[in-house]
Amino acid sequence: MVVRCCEQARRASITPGLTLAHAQALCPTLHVERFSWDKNHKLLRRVGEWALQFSPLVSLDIPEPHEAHAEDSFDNLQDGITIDITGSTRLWRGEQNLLLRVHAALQEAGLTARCAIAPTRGAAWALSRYGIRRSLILEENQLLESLAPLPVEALRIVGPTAEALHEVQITKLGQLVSLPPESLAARFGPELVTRLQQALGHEPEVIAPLRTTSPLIFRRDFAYEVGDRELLIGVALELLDEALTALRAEGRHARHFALLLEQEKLPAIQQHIPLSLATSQRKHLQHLFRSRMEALNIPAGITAISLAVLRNEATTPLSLDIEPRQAAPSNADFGMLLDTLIYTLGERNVLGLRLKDSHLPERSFEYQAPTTPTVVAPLSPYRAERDRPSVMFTPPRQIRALSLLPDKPPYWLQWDNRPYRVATGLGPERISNEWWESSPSCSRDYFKVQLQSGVWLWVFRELETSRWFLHGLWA
Amino acid sequence: MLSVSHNNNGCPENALPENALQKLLSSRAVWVGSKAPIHLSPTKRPKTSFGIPTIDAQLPEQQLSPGQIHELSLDHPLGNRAKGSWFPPLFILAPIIRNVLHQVSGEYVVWIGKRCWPAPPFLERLLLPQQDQNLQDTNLQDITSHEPISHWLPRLLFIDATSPRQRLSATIDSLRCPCVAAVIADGSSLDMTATRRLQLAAQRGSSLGLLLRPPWEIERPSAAATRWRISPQPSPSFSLQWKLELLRCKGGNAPLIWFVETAKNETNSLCASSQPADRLPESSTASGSARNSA
Repeated sequence: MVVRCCEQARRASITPGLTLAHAQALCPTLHVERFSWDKNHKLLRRVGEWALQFSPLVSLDIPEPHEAHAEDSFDNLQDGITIDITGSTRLWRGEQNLLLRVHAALQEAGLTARCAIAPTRGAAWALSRYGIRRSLILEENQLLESLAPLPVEALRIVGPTAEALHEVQITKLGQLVSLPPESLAARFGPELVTRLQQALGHEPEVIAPLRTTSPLIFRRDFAYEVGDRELLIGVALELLDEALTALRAEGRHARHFALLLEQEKLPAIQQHIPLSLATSQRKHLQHLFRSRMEALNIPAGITAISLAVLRNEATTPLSLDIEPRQAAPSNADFGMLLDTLIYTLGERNVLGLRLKDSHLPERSFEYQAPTTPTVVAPLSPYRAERDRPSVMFTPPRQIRALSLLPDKPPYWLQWDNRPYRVATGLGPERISNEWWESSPSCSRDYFKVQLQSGVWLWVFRELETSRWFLHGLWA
Repeated sequence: MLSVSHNNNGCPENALPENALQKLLSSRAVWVGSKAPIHLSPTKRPKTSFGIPTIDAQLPEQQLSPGQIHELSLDHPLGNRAKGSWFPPLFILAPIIRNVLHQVSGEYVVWIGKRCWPAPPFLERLLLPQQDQNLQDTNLQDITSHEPISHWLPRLLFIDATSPRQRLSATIDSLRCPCVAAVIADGSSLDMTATRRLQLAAQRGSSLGLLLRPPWEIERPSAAATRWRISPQPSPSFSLQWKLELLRCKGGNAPLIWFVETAKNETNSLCASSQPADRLPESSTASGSARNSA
């Protein structure tokens, strides 16, 4: 039986409730997958965790996997999330902007979504399922007229009640509102009236917020004080195995471990083991743990060891970012190499590159940690066309130079107390820092000069002080 | 071809093939083959040639072969042996690095040793897709799209080490990693055993190892596959000219000398250059030197 289908399938007139054979007859090139509540719930959970950036109160609108009944799976209008955006609209410059942003971001992630913003939760639920694709109600008095044309199922009522309403020809919400609530409650049950009042805002409704998972902690207590390093290493590796099995069950990789060794009457020894990339490779982690623990200074006896997984990541991160991001390296082998290098050489010696938008050559880049996700800055399209030297000196070396005219290349240089004669020169290229910089403005005239020995240098003259500097050479 | 013939009628079925195989093995009619080597076949690796046909023709595999160590040194007039200052020959390596980055996706390039880090503005130019025609035409869209740079920048890693021993261990670790395509390392003060370990690591990870050495160390014994000396040459025009000397080449002719200069359209690519008639020719050894004239 077809339970869920995508937009394109709907256009081929496949709806939930058809048999698989019927659906395949309608569209021969159908891609079929087995539906599982678990996977559905997990995906929605990740969407919910992503939505936490808009507001801390997010709730999933589907029942838990163990509470789901077989009949619920046919109702795919149930799948969704509710975000309580009270007070956070100012951050996103208005509800309209927020709605468009959320819709666009979900579309980019490949999910077809219907969004709605309304003053009450019931109304938002109804509009998102049965209203137009992106609906927005701002005022309370608009609620009634927006909800009136929607069908009765939009009130989140169960099947039998909806059928009973259909029998008496009540199909739209507008008709329900005009009836007296006591007779409705008597005939169809109090739940219907509650739902109606909640949708119209006369009764309050609470949502159960999503809770992110608590960190995994594994612990071993010793009956006596242990001072033997080998034994401690063995126990730590056992804890690591336990942590990895637990993570694998959830389909996640570890990113940051913390080892805590408790001592009597002394503060506990903490050892943090951050990883560059999320990994679950047992051998590599065992090697890392062993080397870290061997370098630890364990003065007295240890009474307990606990291992906490402080950060973990999903196996395939769902990229629902709003701004375009630079793709971080994601290879597991490379992660292992980074970990080994950072451990032996220190964090400050293993770096990646980031380009910055600045005219001054020494400020147009920055070295940072290799796995930092950076937002792609809009760079000038012409900056890579300029001829730049392969070796640059930071800071530029001061030299003495003579030129015939201020805007002509120098004909003679002296660097490191040695004079050189210049054979050819190219330039000038005027580079100055941006006008909005509050630091004193510096303008430079850059020249590419060739010495008589064939060496090409990149020199500049600082206009304010008319000093000459050597900034780089073509090696 | 293995043919099994029944000699004895009373022999059981399952014992017969084994005896026949043993007989063939002992009589050297059949040999047992060995496993395939660890590194990938050269066809899967990027083409790391200079792009200059006259040079590539003389190199084994027509390129600076990956899975090996290659040593390069720059004989720069501004270097100072007394102060220990020398410059890395990065300009010559530009086409090779660009080939590595453009042809293979998902692989990394590691630079070890602060002296050998390229200037990032120069690197930006390398990361642009290669334009052979004039830039003003249809290729302007490629420049304005920053997707290539943001795709390649995370694949570059810069490492600095405090002591030569740390530098050596970092180079060995990077060469051994299978997802690293090329390692450009500061190779000063490395002896024969160190270069041999580097060669083994490069073979294991099948990555291209480029060791940059100061000019006074290039003649020392080393286990590198090819060794080069590069010197800048005075040029009458605005293009840069270099002299490349291949000092030693495993499985090829050496020593050989070429003159190269930057190509006319300034895309950091090199092409063969003619030797000016007024300059004296370089001394050649008995095995002969190759000099290309336009």
